[in-house]
Amino acid sequence: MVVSDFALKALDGRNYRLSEYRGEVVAVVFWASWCGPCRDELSRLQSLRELYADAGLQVLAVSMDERTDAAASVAASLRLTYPQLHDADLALSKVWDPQRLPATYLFGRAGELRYLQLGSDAQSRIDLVARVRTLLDE
Amino acid sequence: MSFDNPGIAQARLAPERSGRRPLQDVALRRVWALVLAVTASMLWLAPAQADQAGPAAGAQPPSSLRGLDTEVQSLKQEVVDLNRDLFMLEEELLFPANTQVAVFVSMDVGTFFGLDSVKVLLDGREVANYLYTQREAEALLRGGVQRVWLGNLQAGAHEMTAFFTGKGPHGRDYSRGATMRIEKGPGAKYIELKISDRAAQLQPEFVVKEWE
Repeated sequence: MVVSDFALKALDGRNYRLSEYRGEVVAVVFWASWCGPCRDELSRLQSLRELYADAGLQVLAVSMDERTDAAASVAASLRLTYPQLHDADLALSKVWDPQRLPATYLFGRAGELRYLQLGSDAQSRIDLVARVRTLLDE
Repeated sequence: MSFDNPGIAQARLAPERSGRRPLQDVALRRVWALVLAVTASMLWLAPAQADQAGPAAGAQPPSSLRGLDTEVQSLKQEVVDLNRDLFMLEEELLFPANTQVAVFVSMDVGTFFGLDSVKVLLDGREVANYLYTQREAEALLRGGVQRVWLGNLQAGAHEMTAFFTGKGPHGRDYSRGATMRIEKGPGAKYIELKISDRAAQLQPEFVVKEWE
């Protein structure tokens, strides 16, 4: 598995680069509008972001949809406030190669990949919160 | 694993394994000397701290410990310097002057253009495609210069094309290209892609400049 740095354009028109968030705990979630469990994951990450933003948690969502309007519609309906990036030609997805959706990559403050969660179930939800807490305390 | 690109790091280090040069041996010996010095300092520090652990130990650390702290800081600085030297050495090995070509991006003023991305093609082949974040664009506006590509080219004539995209006057999407022929000689070639304002026409200007 390769997790290289990336820069992607977001739905708001701005560009975001992963390495600019060094020093913060970063969750990068790959999702698509046709993926049901992805919506739960996105909502859960929104709650976590609201809880821990001041403690240094940043969330970047990467949509694998072909069109931006599908991703924008879901993001609006879920009232997501974190950046919604668009992997237009799936260039990033081909490199990171998430095996299932949603795929949540959790990075520590030094920029190292600490945790990868594929899919979304009750246990993984509890695990993710615990790991976010651990990373924020480091 | 971090979000630095480990693949690139490995590829860049690979040639060093095939045959070390004297300069590299010196650098490696310095690294080992530093590692040994830090280890020895830590071993010496451990019993010293144990001695001070009793109730008699005051808030002020003894002068020997302060001296050691200074020494550790100086060793850390040496490691940073050594790291820089190794980085430069690595670049010299991978991009020798006779084939080296570097392309830089700079911005001057930027009233009529908000930079979004730069794509560089050499002889029709894409060698760089860089998306700028707001922070990076601001750094360029403050006088920063970014090396967008460093590579090797054989001597002779080459064609370089740069495409700039962003927001032009009145916030409209703006895309421009600039092409130039470059003659690669025996020395390193430095090319600057400069974005500036053409105030008279209220338009941005894109200049490709060669540095010898």
